[in-house]
Amino acid sequence: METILRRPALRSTVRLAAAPPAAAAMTWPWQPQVQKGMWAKEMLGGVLFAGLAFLLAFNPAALQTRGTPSGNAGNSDAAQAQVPTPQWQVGDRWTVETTSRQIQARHPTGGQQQTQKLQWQFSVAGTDRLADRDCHRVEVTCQAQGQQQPTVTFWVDQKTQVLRQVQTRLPTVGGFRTMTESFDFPDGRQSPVLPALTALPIDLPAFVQGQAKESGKFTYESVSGPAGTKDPGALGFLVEVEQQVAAADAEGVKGLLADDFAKNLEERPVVEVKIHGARRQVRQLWQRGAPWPVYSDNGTTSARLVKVSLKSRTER
Amino acid sequence: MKNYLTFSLVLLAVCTTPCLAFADVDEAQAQVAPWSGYWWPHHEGRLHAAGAQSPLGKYDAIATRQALPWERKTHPAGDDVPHWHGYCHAWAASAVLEAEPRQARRGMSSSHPDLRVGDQKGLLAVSHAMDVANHYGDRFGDEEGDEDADDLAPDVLWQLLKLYVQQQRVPLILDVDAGPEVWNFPVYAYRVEYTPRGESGQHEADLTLWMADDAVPPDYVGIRVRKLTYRFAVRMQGASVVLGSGRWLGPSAKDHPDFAWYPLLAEPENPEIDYSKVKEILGSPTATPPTTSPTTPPATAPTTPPTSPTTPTPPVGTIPPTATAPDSTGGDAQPIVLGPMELVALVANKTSSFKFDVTVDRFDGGKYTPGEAFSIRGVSAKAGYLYLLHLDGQGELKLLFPEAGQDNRVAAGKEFQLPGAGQKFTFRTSETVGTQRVKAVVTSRPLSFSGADMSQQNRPEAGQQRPFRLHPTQRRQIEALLADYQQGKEPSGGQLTGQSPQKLLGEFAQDEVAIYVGPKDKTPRPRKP
Repeated sequence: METILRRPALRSTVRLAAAPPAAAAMTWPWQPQVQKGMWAKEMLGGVLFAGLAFLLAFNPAALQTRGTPSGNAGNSDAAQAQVPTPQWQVGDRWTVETTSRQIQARHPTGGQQQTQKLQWQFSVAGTDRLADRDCHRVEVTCQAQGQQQPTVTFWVDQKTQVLRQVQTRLPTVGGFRTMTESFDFPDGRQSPVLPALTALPIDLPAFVQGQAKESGKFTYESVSGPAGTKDPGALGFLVEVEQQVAAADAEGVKGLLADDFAKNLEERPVVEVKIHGARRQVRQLWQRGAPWPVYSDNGTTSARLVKVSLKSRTER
Repeated sequence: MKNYLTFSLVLLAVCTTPCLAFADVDEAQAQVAPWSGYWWPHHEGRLHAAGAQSPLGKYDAIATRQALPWERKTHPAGDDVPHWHGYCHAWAASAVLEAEPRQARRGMSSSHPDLRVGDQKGLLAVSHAMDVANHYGDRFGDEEGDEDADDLAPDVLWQLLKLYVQQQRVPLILDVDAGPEVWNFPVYAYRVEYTPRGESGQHEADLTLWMADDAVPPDYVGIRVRKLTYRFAVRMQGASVVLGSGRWLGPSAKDHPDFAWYPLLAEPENPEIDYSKVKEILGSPTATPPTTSPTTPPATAPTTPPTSPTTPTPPVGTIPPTATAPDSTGGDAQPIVLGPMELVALVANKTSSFKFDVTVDRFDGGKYTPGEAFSIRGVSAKAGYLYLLHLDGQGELKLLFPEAGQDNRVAAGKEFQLPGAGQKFTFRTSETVGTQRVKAVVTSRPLSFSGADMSQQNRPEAGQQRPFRLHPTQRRQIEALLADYQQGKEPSGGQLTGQSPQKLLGEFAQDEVAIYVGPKDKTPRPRKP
């Protein structure tokens, strides 16, 4: 069985469970070389020692054995999977299509009626400073015709990609009201956030950089009102969430994705993120290069990315 | 030294006496008040049964569509249709998003039919039958998704109420039945009273919700209030509620809301319904958001005018029950809304603030046959408002008196009889054999009984009586409690913990008469000589 040493990337990358190693991996400069001669044993010992030190210095989980059964995310690969961090620029746009279950209908729906598909246009409209943090401002408009349309604006920390605030324009008699929900992080750690908007899922996971684990428990506080305006004595709501990240089975998720994102899953593998918190569960599928989950489901609404227009495709 | 010692003792008592822990209150009322409307149960088929005179028939005539045939085919009427199927979700969404039709509308042309209030409300309801909405919690019992009856935890509900009702001043719609049936109501006001209990930030809380009711006739205008109360426990960390720590307590463990939602986009189910056309037919009202005070008017009378949005009215029922008794001219105070559990507590209560006696025409313990007429006599030491409730042996409760529009004031010391001379209504025993009770209450302020079904006409053979329309989980709990009460048992398991008629009503008096209803005697009675 061939053992392949892979140099982990400086930033998080996605590992596909059963992908054969890229040819380029074989030519990396730190591939061990064995020389014959009177110092062979010492040299071999030195190289092996160096290799071990190398593995310990980087990610021990980088040790991958060819022959992992295809189609299954092995435990070692699940541990390695990291959510590809989206990189936005002002001017980036993408479209998400949603369908919702009609759980409020009083008669049994016999297989659950779904609403018609709705399209929502996302646009990174600018940057704002929110509670001393520079944030991307993303504006979302519903593409439904002929009636008052809800719109959503949310702010994401430019540095950590954490969701900081959501404003939803709620229709009401004679007009709209703007509902604002903001999020604080009492322990200073970035956290996945599950906002109160569920007809259009804009839940965001924690994009943890470097060696920190992305699977784990987190805490954030949901505040009714703009970021940074909560009175110390005002009632807030602490949310304890758990995030689990794993490589997704390509065949299992292919049918959920729009055509453009279902192609070439071997080269553009998908990572599954599950976020549990406050009795809610959100499932998302992320793909490298996509600005938004290519698929998400919060139990009543499912959404998929259908169109992307990025100003720049540069990624970390 | 003595003062110091006294102070220390007092401080020690305060700090170590849990019952002295003060409650905090979080409450709010929406500025946009939802209106009450009929829920158009499918089995009745009122949207289409009257053909051209039905709401959909009129719409088809105006818009040249085929909405009525579609409705008849998709939601046929009939007794085989489950009686809980209907358009409560559609009414609730329209009550939240649409201005209330308050007057009949003339046809747009001579060939177009006039539209009654009920027609207009029906068309708004069908326009919202499949709205896109924000949902919280999953529906239980539909064999889809997460079948967790407790997924809408009380702390999550509290957060949603703050977001929608308090911050946005808009109603939030709840399915109030935790079981498979769906009973949607728009909540426009809430109150959470929470008290520390024990350590580690544990609190117990009482939640009261006020919502618009749908147990009203189609042409009803205004808000008929439905009130529900719950208890829950939650953990707090400083001034924050720890989401995920909430759990329902007592009867609320089984009877609590199933899911919450807010409509975002109108979407009809009937493909023949064009929402924009409906708005055009109804005049696309763009009035400023109505801020109708939540009153409880008689069934068919218009409501009081809306209050100013700058002076929001506190939720009905939270006004402290310290109002003085009405004067002899019958000045009406704001009615106190009783939720179903509060009503049960009132029925089970046996204390009185003043002397009050009632009897039936055959006296306490008198024997009647099923469906037989009876009358009530009584006298109250103090003036007030009289209410008569009927309880059968199976725990079913009905409101006998007053009906909408009937004057229920009684004078101090003056005997009353109901029905009185010239009054054109009767009281009749129910068909169930066994002990039945008539509970009489005199209160210092008028009451409104949440859940009393105003949508149906009285059947003359049943006499004057108004059933309560309760969602199934609550009905089972209440009937069990009242059946126990009928048998002389105390309510078990803290079912009525926290329910205090005295606290809610202030001064009131009660009395009760038991009547025995036996099987009809088929033996012919001998003629008198």
